[in-house]
Amino acid sequence: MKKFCKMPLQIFGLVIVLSVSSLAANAQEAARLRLDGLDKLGTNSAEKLSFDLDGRLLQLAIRALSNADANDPKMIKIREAVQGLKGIYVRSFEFEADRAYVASDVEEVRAQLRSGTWERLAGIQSKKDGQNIEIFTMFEGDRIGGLTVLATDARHVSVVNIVGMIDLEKLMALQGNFGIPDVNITLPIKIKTKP
Amino acid sequence: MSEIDLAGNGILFPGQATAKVATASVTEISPEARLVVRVRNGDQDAFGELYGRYAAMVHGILLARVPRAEVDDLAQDVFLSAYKNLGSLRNSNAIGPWLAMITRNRAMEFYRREKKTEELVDDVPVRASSLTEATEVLTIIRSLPDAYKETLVLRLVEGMTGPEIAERTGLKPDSVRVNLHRGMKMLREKLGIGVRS
Amino acid sequence: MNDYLWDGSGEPDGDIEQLESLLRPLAYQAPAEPYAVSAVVAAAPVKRAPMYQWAIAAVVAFAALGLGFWMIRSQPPETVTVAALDQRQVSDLAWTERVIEPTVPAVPIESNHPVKAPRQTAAASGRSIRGSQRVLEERQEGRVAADQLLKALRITSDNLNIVKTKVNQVGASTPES
Repeated sequence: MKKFCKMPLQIFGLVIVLSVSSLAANAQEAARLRLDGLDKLGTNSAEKLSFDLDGRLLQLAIRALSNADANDPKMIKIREAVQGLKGIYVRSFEFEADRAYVASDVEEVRAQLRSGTWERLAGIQSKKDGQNIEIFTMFEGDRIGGLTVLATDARHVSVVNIVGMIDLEKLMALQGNFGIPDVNITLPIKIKTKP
Repeated sequence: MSEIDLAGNGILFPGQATAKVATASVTEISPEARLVVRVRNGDQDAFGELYGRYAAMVHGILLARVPRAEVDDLAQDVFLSAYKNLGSLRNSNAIGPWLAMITRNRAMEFYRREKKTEELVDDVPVRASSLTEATEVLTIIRSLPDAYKETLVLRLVEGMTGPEIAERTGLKPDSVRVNLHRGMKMLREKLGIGVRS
Repeated sequence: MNDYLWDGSGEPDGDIEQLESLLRPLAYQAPAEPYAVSAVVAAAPVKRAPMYQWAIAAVVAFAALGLGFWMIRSQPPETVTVAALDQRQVSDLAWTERVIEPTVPAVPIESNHPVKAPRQTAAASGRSIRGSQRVLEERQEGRVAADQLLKALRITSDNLNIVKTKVNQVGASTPES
């Protein structure tokens, strides 16, 4: 019995590492939403932006960002923001006419966000224009392990699902043109700033 | 007019002063949520009650996706997984939608493990012709889009009403209505005008 | 919409009634005995390996890890044959920080014999060209992916800030209690 007690730390460490990595993998999978139900919106949309970035592709993207403009402060901020990301999944559509999609088309995504592991952090809704932006988070302990932004109005549906350790402040600090290309799809809401 | 609601803790973004906007009203605790609390406190009978409430929903969601022969085993897996992971459910009121999510994921995992890209065809032994016909209709229902087939199975096979489907799965009643209506329309087209006896 | 389809009320729909009676045998059948969690948990026991088997597994795992690290460290860095590339490829490779080293071995010059390139050189060059092509393709993939990543970040950041701005506006206009 005594010689087993000597095995120590290494075995327990291995068990803990394996457990944590398996827990992390499960958490990652839980934070990822099923967005393929939205793909049908692409057939009617005037513009669409649809991709899944994780695993190897995400690493290639981060490496490409790291290699270009290594000392540019803006690039440094971007790299800091993406540091803990495991995956980023986007479905964004713009339609030429109002109500070219129905609310039930988005309902499958909302149902996943109401499943109990996501929390609705904030939302704004304008009854006048039918504009709606909702922010959902999934916590791992006291850190955010998943973030989803769901934005809709009469002519737009946009879902961005981010998996991994997220720093909200660093994400928000990317606002503005940080060498980030203009997205063809206009954002659903424009705030009128007071003069 | 714009409405804003924030999470209950009142602090939305780092560095921002406490929000003055009214937070969401306190949600009533449902009977199902009370059962969840009891289970967490070690009451296994309470989990039996939860099982009784949601078994048909889990069965129906699986039946819409996987071969009949696999449904019962997978349903057991779903409930076992739910029992083990109940601690991760942050909102006890959402036990139904949470179970529905686990069930759909389990069905997907079944196909990943089986490494089949096409849906397995039920291997139905020669039995009463009505059961064969039922399986044929089920196969046709399974060929419909996910949202429609699940709702139709829960309604036509498991006998749940539209409001019950909405309440248990977490879908909005309007969405369930649309899914039932469109799904039924597609099913009628695929079957012909009516069901052949 | 047909109320009967929605909640079974109203005038029954003949087609739907027929489907219900046909499909009902496939429905979930509640067991005679109440569901017992302990029975399910007991049905799927977690087999625990004896302690010494965990120890062996741990030792094997660590040995594999150690071997892996040793193999990675002892692998020579990927090199590229400069002679096989044109200028455009070289400048693209500047994206990476790899050192470009010639791998063609020096051929000894003998006055009475014509210089023959060793057979291996062509094969080595071929592998190097394919290797550099792979690198280029990977670079291109990375740039496309980076572009997508930046777009996603922009959408997210802008929406987050819209919500924050709106909240601040409302907060500022709400009188203190």
